Amino acid sequence: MSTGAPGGARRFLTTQWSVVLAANEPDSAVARGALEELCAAYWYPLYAFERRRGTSSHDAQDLVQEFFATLVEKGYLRDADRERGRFRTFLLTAFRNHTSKERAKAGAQKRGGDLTHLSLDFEDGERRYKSEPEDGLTPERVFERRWALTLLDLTLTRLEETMRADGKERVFTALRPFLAAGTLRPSYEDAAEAAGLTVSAVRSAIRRLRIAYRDALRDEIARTVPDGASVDDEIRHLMDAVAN
Amino acid sequence: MTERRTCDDCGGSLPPDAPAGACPRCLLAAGLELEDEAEGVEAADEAPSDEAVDPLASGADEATPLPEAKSPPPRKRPEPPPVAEVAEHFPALAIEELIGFGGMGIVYRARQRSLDRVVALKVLWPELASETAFADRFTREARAMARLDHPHIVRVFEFGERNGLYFLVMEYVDGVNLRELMDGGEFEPRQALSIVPQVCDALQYAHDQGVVHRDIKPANVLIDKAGRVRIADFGLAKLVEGEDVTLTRAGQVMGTLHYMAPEQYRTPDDVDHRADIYSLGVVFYEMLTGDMPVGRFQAPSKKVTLDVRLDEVVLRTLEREPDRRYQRASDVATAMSTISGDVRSPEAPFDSDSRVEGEREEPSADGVAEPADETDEPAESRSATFAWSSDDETTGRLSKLAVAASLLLLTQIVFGLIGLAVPEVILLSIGSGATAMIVGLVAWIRVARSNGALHGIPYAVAGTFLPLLTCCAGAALGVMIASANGVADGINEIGRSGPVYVGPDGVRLGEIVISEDGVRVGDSIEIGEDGVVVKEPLTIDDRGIRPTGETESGSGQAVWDPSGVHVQYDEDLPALYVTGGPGWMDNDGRSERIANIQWQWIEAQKASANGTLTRETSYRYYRNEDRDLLGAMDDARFARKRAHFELGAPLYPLDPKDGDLSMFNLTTAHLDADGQGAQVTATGPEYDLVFRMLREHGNWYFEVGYVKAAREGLAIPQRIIEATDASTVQTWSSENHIDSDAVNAITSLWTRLTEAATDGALTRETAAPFYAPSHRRDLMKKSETTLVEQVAADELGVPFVSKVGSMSLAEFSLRHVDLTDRNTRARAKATAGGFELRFTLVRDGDEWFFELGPVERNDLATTR
Repeated sequence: MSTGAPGGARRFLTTQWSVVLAANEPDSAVARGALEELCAAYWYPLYAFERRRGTSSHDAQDLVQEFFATLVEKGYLRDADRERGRFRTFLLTAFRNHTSKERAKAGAQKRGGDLTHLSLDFEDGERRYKSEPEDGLTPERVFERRWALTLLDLTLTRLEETMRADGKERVFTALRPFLAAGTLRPSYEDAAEAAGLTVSAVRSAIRRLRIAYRDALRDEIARTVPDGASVDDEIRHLMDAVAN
Repeated sequence: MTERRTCDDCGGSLPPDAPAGACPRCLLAAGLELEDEAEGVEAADEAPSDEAVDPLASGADEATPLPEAKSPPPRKRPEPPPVAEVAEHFPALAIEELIGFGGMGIVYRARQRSLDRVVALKVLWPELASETAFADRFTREARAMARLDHPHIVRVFEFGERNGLYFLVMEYVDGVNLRELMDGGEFEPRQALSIVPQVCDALQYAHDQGVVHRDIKPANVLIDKAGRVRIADFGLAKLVEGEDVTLTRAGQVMGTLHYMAPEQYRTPDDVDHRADIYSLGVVFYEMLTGDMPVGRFQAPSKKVTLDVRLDEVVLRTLEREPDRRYQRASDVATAMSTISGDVRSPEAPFDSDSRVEGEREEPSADGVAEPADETDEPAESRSATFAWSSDDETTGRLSKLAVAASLLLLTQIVFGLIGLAVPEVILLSIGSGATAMIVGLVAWIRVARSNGALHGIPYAVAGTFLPLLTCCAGAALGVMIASANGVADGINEIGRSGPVYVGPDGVRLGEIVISEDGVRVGDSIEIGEDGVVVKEPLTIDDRGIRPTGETESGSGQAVWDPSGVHVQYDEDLPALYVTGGPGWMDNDGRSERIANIQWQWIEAQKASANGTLTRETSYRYYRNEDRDLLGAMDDARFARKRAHFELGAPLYPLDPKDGDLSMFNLTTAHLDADGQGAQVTATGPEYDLVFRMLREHGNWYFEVGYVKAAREGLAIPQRIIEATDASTVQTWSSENHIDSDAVNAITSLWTRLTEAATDGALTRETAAPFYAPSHRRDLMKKSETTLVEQVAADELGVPFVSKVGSMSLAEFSLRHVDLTDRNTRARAKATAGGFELRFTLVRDGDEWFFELGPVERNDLATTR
């Protein structure tokens, strides 16, 4: 952790969930700010979860929006296991509680309106949901899977931003395939050409990129787990979640 | 969204929404694996390094704190206390130097003052012991360790706790650990072959004692100066399991993660000795290849030239599922000894220049999923997966003969299948099969004797034995198809109380036995030479006809279909109607026609028995054109005769004393060649009825005017009357209820003709009386032409042919007379020498005449 950080910009991301948990007053401005930031990043897995549960697009949007709006107010945070709870687990549990309560009083007037509205791009969400593979996963599995993918997305985006800030956008684009295969990886030669580096420089650049990526990923995960919780455990859990 | 691709590295499928098109699983894994890569790679820039190691008691003097020390230790790990500080706690030991530290603790070389022996002192990291229950666990595990007494296990002499420090006093091993050895650059893969069996020994011993190491890794494999292997830290890892180990030992645990069996981090509570076998496999792999088996790794023989059979051993230890690994450590050793035993040298599995240089240059430190990244290997080798059967030319070739045997087996099967349609090909199939067996056997022997240079036993065995199986299967299939297609050439006889079907080729379907108890069709189904057989016993009672154990009845008939055999039974008459079934050979519909004839007979019998068969109702048993039968019967002139002899056996042949038609059972039905007519026999108590039936629009009708009856004991008459002279015909025909008047008239006509021919009196003029008056004019007219001779020979009929070949007409004898058309016409044959004449006779009133027209002349000598 102490080595290979490509820059200090990512530090601000760390342990937001810890901040929330640590706040004595769950609705303190700091906690709320941290929570909102988390929610804005991770709302989509919830949406996919709810859609997979058979809820219509419109209702799912309402539910997610309402849920975030009332997250703090409802005292869900007090339910969170202060010691070990991960944001991921918390979010899903709280959301389920929320939806079951909402369903229980179905027909009652919907809340919303005067409450805080997160700016969530539901249109984009629905479009993404439509592109979900038809895989017969349970809603829970969908949630976890989406969670992992969202997390990776965030990580890659942030890494890219960092690299861009350092003027290494081209290197990032060229070497990104080396982070994990999946698609066919270019040869070192091709990558070197694309990145504008020599072949040997590409190798070190790949190493550095991997380290940077590793750090970014671990930081991103660290945002969502309590202080001291094992990032690796979370990684393994998410690996399971994306496994087919 | 249906398109799914596959990750090159982990083989998982790529969701279309994978971030940046990369495999999410690998991306996540990179977060894990890069933990030590980060450090390893960083360090690699300075010196070859590796993941964090636990150098324990490797007490070589030159053993400096291991590379791990160079990489920044995990965040929360304290610096090892200096020697002097530790020494305070252990007055009985003279601490000499710190020889290493790792995830579990710090190791010092020390001298035990009392015994004056060199020992290794391991002091556990204090924070490990922070948990309250630690003391108990430590005691329990240390005791288990101390009980292990094995030449390949580092002995534990003492353990305990001093001022909050938990410690172990252990045997000091003067040598290096495997990590150092491998990093030293002089490690030869072949050394693995002597190291691994010793590790297996140790593991097997410990496992037998119920102790699982849980942390087998190179750093824990010590090798003393004599080359003897010792395993350290048995079970020590268990001390920290259950805690959030990564919390305190993040770096250390990450370093050993590669050596951990999957279940160790998947289901840590469910780990048994087989985890050690996996870890051993990782170490083994690393020793052989210098790389870690991470991600989609290659088989060792792909990276280093060695006996491909070693691949199997290594890969089996590396199975992700414990159940698929070797179940005992000793099995690994056994497998290895088999391989090295075969070649009589532990090093022989390697070729002389055993190692591909370059593979080794980059230590596995980075441990990334694609080792090739760090080497100059061509890019394409990256995607290579490990293979069990190597096409590597150097070792363990797949026996070509064995493959050939399998291919021959395939050929046999293919030819066999073709042979079902084209029987000649069967020979090729048999040939291929036989060759496959021979080749397979030879290949088998060669592979077995090759000491591993060849493999492919399964192919050879398949080639040796399977041809027999496929041959049997093919034969069975052939029989099934043959019987379905019908081997025999038609069933044209039906029976009751006797064979169900006995065709010209001896197809025997079974025996029908009708008794008071019921009707049985056979006792069993048998496949005879050519055909089939109804097998299930049948019984008929008042509920109809039933196969054993099964009742099925319908109105007026029972239908039984046990295997496609249709047996119909009419309740009013004890008659069976059998069609279909496995042996049902309906050659061009002939069999079905027979069945229909039978059914029609049954209908007639029924009507006759019920008394409903009268002159008025019987017309429907005749063809439309023949239904003037009723009118004909009103003709007083013929009424009596026809009623008795001519109008058809089925309806009015019987004296009242003979009973009704139900007394006559259909016994034979011979179809004409064209299938449009049939000669039928029905057997009664006294005599048989022989008659003809005609087919029209798919239905069968009795032919009017033709019936013969034969008393019991006489041969069943054929339709053709054979007679050599008039008296024979007379007797024969009268006895057989034939229209003997007609036969006599024809015989007499023929006699007069031959007499006329003999006398030379047969001229155009004298021949006229042999023709019907209405035809005589035509005869004369024809004679006026200049072509009298030709016309006479070709057209005008027998009488005018004085000679046929060398035979005079006078020499011809009437042989056959065949009455047709209600006995108003007759086809007749006369023969002499090798010649046969066929001609037609017509009836005019009570007299018979030759019909004008062509006459067939056959030279029997050539037609026969």
